[in-house]
Amino acid sequence: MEVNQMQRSFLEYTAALFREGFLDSQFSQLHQLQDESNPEFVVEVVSLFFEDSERLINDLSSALDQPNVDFKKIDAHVHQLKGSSSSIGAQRVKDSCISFRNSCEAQNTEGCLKCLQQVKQEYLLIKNKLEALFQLEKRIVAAGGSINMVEWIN
Amino acid sequence: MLSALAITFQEATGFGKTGHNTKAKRSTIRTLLKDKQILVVDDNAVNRRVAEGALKKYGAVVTCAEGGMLAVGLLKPPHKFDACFMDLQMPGMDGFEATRQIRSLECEYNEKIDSGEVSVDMSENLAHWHTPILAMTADVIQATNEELVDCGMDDYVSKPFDEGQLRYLAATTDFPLYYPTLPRLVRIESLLMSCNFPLLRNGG
Repeated sequence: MEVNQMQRSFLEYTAALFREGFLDSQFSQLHQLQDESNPEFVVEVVSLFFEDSERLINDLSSALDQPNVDFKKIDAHVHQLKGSSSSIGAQRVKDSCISFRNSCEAQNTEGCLKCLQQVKQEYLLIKNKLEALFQLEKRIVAAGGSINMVEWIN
Repeated sequence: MLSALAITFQEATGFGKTGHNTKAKRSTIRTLLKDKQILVVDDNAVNRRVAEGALKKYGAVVTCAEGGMLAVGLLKPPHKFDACFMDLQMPGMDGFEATRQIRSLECEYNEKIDSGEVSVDMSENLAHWHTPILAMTADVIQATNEELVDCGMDDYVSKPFDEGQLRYLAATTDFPLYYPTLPRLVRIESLLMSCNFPLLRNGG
């Protein structure tokens, strides 16, 4: 694919992620923090998010698997996941954390299990989508293109 | 063609924008933060990295700590830090307790200065220790102003931490509108203008 065409797909793909509510403006903010002095910033933060989320989702699964569910502990894990997802702008993960915390507050095990499924699903979706976006970014750069939108406009 | 698409896209998402900051405003933030020693305290690794990235972009020298206990150790006077951004809800020692303990340590140290038990370098303007501590809150309801003031916090910024928070921090009268709904604990300008604060010790 030609660079120009790839850049176009990059824009369309990212726009769709915003439109469908996968990402919010915090993700754009992250890009603003990336510059020549830390060109890998976004990938680095998002990788931290992946690591963190996978650990928390595992912790949540085992905490909900106990005969006596410790809702306080579950709430603490969900609080963490909500924090990291809002820091990268993973809006749908963040939103499912909010309903998760409500079920937790109501001490509703059934509700918590449903929310865990929801969180897992949203996490896997955004993970796949972000990985695809980073792949495309790499291909653009490898083909000598830039993903600096300011340059595209000027 | 690409440029037209990029413009529409930017308007919809804010992605790739250079931000609302004019060069002058960015330079105000830079002047405020350049070479300042800032401590970021948060138990969440993603949040720490994002806060660090935002502060470093403006030239701050950032140290990160994972919990309240570590923060107390680092902010026991004398220390090198100019300001601290502190998460509130953390396992172990939370941000409220950590701030209380830091204020108490500062108080003890200030008494020692007053009694002449420790000497200070007056040229550094450090006759009175009070490190600005700014709470990072995920939502405004997480803590009331009163609770924050009671434990000794100076102000707060909302999470997730980004450049917007820095605009707020560097707020001057010509751009007070970014967080119009956030009531302020202390007008940040007066906090920064007061010569008692080590934030200004390098002439920033």
